[in-house]
Amino acid sequence: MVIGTIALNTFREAVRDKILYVLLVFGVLMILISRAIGWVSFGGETKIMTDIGLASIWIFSGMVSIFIGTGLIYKEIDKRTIYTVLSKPTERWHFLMGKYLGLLLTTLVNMLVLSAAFIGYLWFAGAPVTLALAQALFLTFIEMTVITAVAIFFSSASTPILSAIFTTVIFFSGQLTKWVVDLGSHPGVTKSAPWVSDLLYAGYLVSPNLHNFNIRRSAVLASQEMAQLAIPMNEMYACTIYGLAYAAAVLLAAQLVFARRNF
Amino acid sequence: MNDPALQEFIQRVAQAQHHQQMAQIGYALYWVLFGLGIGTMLFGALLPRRSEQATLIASGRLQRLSLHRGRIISSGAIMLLMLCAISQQAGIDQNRGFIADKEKRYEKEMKRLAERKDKEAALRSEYMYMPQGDSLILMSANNPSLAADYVWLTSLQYVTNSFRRQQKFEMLNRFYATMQELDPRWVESAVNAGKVLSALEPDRFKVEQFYIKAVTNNPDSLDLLYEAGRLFVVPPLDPAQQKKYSDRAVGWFTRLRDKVARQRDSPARAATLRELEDLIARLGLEAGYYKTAAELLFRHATDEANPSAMRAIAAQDWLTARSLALVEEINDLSEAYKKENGRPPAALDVLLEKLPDGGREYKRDAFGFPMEYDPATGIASSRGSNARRAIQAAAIVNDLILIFGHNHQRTPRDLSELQSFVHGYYDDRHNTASHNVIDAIGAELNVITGPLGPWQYDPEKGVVLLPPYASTQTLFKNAERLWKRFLRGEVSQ
Repeated sequence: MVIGTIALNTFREAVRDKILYVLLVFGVLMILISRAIGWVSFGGETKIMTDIGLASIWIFSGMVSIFIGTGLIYKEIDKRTIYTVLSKPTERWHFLMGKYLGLLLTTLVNMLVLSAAFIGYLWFAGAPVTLALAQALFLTFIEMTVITAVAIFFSSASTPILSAIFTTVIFFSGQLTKWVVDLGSHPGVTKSAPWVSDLLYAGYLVSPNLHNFNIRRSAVLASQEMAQLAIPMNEMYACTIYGLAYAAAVLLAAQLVFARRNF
Repeated sequence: MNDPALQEFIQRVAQAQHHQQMAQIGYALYWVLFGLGIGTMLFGALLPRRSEQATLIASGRLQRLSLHRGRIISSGAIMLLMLCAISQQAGIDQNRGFIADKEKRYEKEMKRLAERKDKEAALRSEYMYMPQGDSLILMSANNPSLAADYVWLTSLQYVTNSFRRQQKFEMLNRFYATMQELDPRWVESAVNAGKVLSALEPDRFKVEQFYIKAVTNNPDSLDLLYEAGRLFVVPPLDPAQQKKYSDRAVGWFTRLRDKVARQRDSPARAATLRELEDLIARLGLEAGYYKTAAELLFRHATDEANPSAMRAIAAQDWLTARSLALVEEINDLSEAYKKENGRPPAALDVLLEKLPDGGREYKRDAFGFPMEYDPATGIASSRGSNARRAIQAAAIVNDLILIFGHNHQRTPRDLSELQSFVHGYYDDRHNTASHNVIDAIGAELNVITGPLGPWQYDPEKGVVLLPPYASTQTLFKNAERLWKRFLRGEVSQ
């Protein structure tokens, strides 16, 4: 009940934030402009439209999570409004969860608006629309649950600027963690210092591997070939469970940090 | 007035005039806005501050305006700052130039580099701004599909003439290879890329490498197999390559045919198979796969699903294929005999008597003519198929005689005179012989001897004459009788 109230309040507050509308407008604009970019191309117009649309939803949803999430808790502390909340019979973790769910709801609404614009535009332009695109969008949302959790974690520990920097770094580097493991399996490394590749692999397992949720290429190809699914359902469940588990772990870590924070 | 260079010059002058006009308007507008900005700021500055309102003897309008003093000054300042930025931007653009200017400067540099250093170094410098596929995946934060779109769109500017670069084929080949690396299953772009490359590079085998990579990435793509085959359908610039090209095309289309054959039965599949088999048959004829071509053409000629006109054409082509298949078999037997006995057989009957039924089916070609045999060389030939070639060759030679007539206002005295004229007419630099001409009279442009031996030339009429049997009507009339016997099963395939 408390968590729900805080979540709804957070959502209402976030919706009043102008940055959300700026990002939403730019996101929709990118989706609309994608057709013009497709026109310049010699063939593959619908493929380019779908690529740009999915990538825009990914990046703008990420930006919503980062820009709004990284200042969420710090703002409350700075304005001293956190005292009014915590002075009530509310646990700190209620507050944290409420903030997280509120931000997640904001991201979800943002994604729904962008997805509706995207799918509608694709359908209007005669581009193929299949369930594969829905799969990609769903996993993008799961990715945002992780990023939102990361944003909340840094927000509860640090200033907005630093939180934004760290969260953005994780947002992009999370896509490339596989390459780090590849580095470790380079023959030069395995010969001279095999422990490096083990260390890198351990680091890989622990870091947020956001590339798991990136099935945009498969989704675009699947929709072009009019296939219903981009990836098998069991793989999708595995990615979802990974995302939710990782987000829960990060939130717990945030709770540990937040519980000891003095303000 | 119709001179294209003059038209281009006039267009450029008109464009320059238009630019000058726009520059003058822009310049005037700039100063108007500058004045407006200064005026707005000054006006705002002169308005009394709110604290001074008490001492002000002013109208209500001025009082209301003074409430917005800050906003008025800010608007003026914004205008001035924007104008400052615009003027700076114009200066930067003048120094750096736009993309087309940059391209021109870059081209000059590349030409200079190519003169100083070797071609490879120049090419490497051009490559420098196009990263490898791996780097693009990293730079696009693991969005390889988007990166592939970027590479494709970038490559398009090098296809048109707007951005001229040296070694276009090598440049674009690299772009397309990067694109394939990033998004190997983007078949549509691979098909279009292959078409672009084939237009830039006369050596089709080089372009085929691109298709091989694309097909390896997309083994189930029928479009790629079809385009790879079509690559070799257009006649080569070097006629000596024709057989090789046809052979390659047959390979690709056969592979495609096998894939289509494995699909579920449907009218579309049947139509596709017919089209492919027709292509394989005709290309097979050019490549020397006479037996395969004969089988396929026979099937088409007897397929009720085919329109009657197509069946008639297939039947006629079958005659040639069947005749050449028989010739090939006889020549193989002759070769074997030569190896065994150290000399070719003295007569065709010597070869055929050893075959079942006395080799009855080899005695005549599919057109009904007796098989011709040269005991000196041991090589057989089909009079019917030679006659068919002669009909085409005669048409070409007669056209050349007409061209001679246009140039000299008379017919050639003899074919030697025509020969000298033809060699001079088809000068390598200015006027090359078309594929049809080379196909008919050979790469040496021989107008003295045809497929049936030396031409018979009538200098009064100015035409080469064909023997009575070498007319389309006679040829196919003969063949029609045989074809009907064939369909009745009186003659084996």
